[in-house]
Amino acid sequence: MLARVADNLYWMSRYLERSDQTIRLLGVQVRSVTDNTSAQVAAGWTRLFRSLKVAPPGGDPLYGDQLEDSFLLADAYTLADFMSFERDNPGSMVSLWGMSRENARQARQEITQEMWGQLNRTYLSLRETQLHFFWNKEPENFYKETSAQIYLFRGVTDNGLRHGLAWDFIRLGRFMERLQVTTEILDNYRPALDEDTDLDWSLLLRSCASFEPYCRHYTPEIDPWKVMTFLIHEPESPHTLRFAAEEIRNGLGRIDPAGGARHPLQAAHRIAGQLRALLVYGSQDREDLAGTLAEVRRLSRGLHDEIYRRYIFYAADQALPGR
Amino acid sequence: MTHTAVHPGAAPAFRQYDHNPTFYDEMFEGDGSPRQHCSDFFETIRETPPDDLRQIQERVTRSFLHEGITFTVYGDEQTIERVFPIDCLPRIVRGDEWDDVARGLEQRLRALNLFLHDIYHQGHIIRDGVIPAELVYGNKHYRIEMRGVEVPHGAYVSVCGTDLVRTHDGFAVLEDNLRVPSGVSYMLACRDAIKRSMPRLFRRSRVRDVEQYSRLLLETLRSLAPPQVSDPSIVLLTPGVYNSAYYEHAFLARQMGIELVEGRDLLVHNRRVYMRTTAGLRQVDVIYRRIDDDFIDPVTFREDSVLGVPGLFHAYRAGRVVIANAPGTGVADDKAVYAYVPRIIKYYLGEESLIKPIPTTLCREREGLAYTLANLDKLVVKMVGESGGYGMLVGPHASATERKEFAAALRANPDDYISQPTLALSRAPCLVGAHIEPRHVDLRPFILQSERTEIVPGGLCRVALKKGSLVVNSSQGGGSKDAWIVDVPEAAEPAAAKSA
Repeated sequence: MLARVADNLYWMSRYLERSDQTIRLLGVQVRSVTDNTSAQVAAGWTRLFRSLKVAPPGGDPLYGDQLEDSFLLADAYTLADFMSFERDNPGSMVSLWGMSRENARQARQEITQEMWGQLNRTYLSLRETQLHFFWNKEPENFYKETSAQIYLFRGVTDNGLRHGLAWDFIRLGRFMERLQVTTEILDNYRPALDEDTDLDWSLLLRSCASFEPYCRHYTPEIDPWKVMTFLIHEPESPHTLRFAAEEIRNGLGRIDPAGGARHPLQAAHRIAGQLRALLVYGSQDREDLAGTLAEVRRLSRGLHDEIYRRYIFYAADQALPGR
Repeated sequence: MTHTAVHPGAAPAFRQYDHNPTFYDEMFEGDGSPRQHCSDFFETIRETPPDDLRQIQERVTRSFLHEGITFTVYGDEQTIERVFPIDCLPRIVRGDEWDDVARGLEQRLRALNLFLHDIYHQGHIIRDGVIPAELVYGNKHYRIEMRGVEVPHGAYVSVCGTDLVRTHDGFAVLEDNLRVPSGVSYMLACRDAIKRSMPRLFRRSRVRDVEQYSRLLLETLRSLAPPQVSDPSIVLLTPGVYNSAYYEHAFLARQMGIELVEGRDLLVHNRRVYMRTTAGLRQVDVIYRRIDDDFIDPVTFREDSVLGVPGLFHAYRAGRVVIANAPGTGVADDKAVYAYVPRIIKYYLGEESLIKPIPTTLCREREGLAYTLANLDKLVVKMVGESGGYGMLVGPHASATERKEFAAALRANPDDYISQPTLALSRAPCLVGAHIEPRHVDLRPFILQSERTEIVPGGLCRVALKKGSLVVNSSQGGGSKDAWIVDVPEAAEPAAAKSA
């Protein structure tokens, strides 16, 4: 497959995953408005913006300490609108869909008509939607339904697209993005472990689409530390860091089987292995949590760079000639 | 004066149909009765409530929108994506008429390819005085770099889109598009949308298939590959996502299962062309390019091109890669050379042109200029080497001032102009709101040539959706409709008897 097209597919998928995360966080936040104190709601917005690394309207782009105050000034409607439909905000749901679609458009020959149709149709309808259409009725449902469109896209992808290189890069993009955003979400909940707050930790599970898997594994009784370690180390739930790391490593193995099997290993494969090792065998002690998350962040950035160096933007003279 | 339908039992949708005998109507005879091969279709549409027709139209338009068959309009505030307008009523052409046209198109392309081979080799046709040397060698599309280059199967043009118009005198060629003709994806998308919206009527109408186009194109491209290559690697070279025909490029690449590449995906090393894949560089054997000559190689042609591939032409000359269409074919679809096509056909094939030419006057000739100037109010004057309606005067539609200004330009550079009579383009019924009204149409069939010649029965039927307009370009209110080539069973009863 063309390197440029792999790049497009990877980003199509990353933007869509990011949109999914944004939608889920918004859904959770909109729900928390109904049954939490205003201080909790404000803290929730702070975590949302910080996790997604988006500067709120009128907020300090450097995420200074005075940030919380600026959230209290704005109301939920403004913030939700800004994160959902504001085109000038590159991190808004509609902007992310737009970017995903633009990447898909440049890779049209590699994706199926159904995939394009699903992406395009949803984008066109989101473009026509405004917050006040549903805000006073059932805002949470809107986010749920939009989320369902992403699930539909994934279903169409998994069942219609050949599981070849294009599929691998799409999957790689999805789990790279999931790994990075989930790490940020967890890191923004981390301080609350040490504080004696009445934070509802099920919000974190819902933010990571892991409420039901957690309840199956433990019980609906929510323990903050169990929630945190579950979301980092659990191997079978698709939204945990470990699950993402396994997927990334397996994906690289399919994209370049020799690179992960022969000496010397490709740098990307090495980092993917380190990442997995950290999440499978690394420390699960409380005092190591900050370090673990920082290490995941560092490795995932390095991994992205190495994937690009090896498969997308390689120097031409090193790659001659392969018929 | 209006010519409102007097046909008995005219359906509400047809009530305002203007039967103007000046123009050939694709569906109706001069007396307003449906042509025999359209009668079944007419009956069905007549019995369809206008609301249902509107719904079909909406469905078809929506399917274009969802497919992403849009073109981009760049405005001041934001860029807008407009859906390519499509009319849901097909234009219906009789099979036997089409067969004659197809033979004519085949003949024409065969002769033009022989012409191209000749002018890039010995130039017999020029030495024999059939066509003036300056028209060929002085043409801005003549590529001196192509001299002596051997092209597989002599197919300089392997993909051709010829613009046909119909008048009361039958089909005529308006223009040959021999460089990078586009529009075939709209033909296929129209067909797909129409089939889905009127399945039963379509099935009953015995319409010839066009769906094999992509397969035929792939076969054509494969047959151009260097003979030593058993499994050629074929790519489609696009200028990129901002090109107005990008949808088509992606569509064809997907249908053929080949890579859609941009200039930046390719590189030339040791006169071989490679594409950058995720698994390293991979050699390319055939390039179906949808970029103009000027831009394919900044080393050989325009050095400011960022769309092309440096060194591509050297690889081409060395026979390591095939480019289709070959560079330099534009000389044969030039508006002045157009006037010579009947002579070109005669010269190489010894045959008369099967498709009637439009009488063309060359202003470079003294009598031609005098005639054109004297009849400016009746003629269409076109600038040689321009396309897309630029540098053109439609005499009958122009004001006296416009004509005066144009006459001055004409006198200053007569070599740059040709003139043709203003054609009474045929009209076909189109859905306009809740009514059906006639609109002017043309037809662009696509012809493929390598070892064999292939023509899919049909083409892109472009419609001037603005009332009275003759301009079919999508940027100026043009749209498209499906073109049905239908086989009428022999000795079918006349429509009137059938409906009785």
